[in-house]
Amino acid sequence: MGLGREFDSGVMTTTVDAAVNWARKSALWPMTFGLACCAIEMIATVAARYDVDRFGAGVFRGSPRQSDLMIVAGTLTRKMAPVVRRIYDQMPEPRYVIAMGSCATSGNVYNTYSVVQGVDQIVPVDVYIAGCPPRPEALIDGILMLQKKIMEQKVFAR
Amino acid sequence: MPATHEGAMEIVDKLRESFPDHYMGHKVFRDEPYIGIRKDGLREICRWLKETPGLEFDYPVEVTAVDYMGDAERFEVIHVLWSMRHRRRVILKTRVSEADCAVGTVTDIWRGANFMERETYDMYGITFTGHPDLRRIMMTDDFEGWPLRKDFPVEGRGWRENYDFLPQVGD
Repeated sequence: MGLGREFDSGVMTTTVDAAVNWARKSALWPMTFGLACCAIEMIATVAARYDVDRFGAGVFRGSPRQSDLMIVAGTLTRKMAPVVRRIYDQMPEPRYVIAMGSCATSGNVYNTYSVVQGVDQIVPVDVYIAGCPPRPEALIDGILMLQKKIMEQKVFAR
Repeated sequence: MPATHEGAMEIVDKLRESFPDHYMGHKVFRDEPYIGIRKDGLREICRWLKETPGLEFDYPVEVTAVDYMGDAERFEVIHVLWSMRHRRRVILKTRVSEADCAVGTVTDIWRGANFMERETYDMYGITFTGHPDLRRIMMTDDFEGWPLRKDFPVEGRGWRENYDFLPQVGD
């Protein structure tokens, strides 16, 4: 039994993986979470001029339980590290982490007594963004990179 | 007491006359007086600076310290005071040695000095005798050492890389 012509308009075929991944990448709700000056660039990215809502990543949530994406924007100190880990643990899966800026990536010049040398020591990171701080274009590029990564995920393994 | 070199010298002279035993030296830089005093007289001088008519230094801008490692009196505790009424600044400098690393608190004179003294204690290990709540303010309570001392290693002491809150294998 084949499909008749009655489904020609309004129906498309796809894989479950592609459909689920498309849904996930199209509504990446980030966690409202800024640690330092990178947060200002993150705010600029959300605001009207750069408008990250175009990519579905503009709905910043105040609770980790409603977020899919944690953008670690700024210098992470050892004192703050348990808090970041707890926020990450509270996020529902699937969850993603962007390390925004040199501080979150590697500690930047702050090789000192208190600064964690990269958030990847605390949480798994999906995308690293260089810059001090990165321009909004760079953050958008990182989000697009993450979306590309999400599209390559296998949701239902056989 | 105008904001000039003469105005600054006026403060210095007044202080020297009132506390000849505690005065150690002074310099004037950009019309602001920097006065070195003995640490025994710190509290007395601070109270005098706040309460004397014509001076009325009512605002503690900063309490901090400098580590001159190698000197006999290793640390210099610095009090920056501001008089809102007269728009004048005065900087008091006191030296303490590493062995007797303590100065009197000024929290009972200016309550705003509370957190600044805690910060100086946290970073340099200088005790402020009489402080109502002298705990660490920036570092965690389990932190060991005084990070802004010159002999503290630049790259931390393991505490920075000790992530005991992470879930361990087998949890």
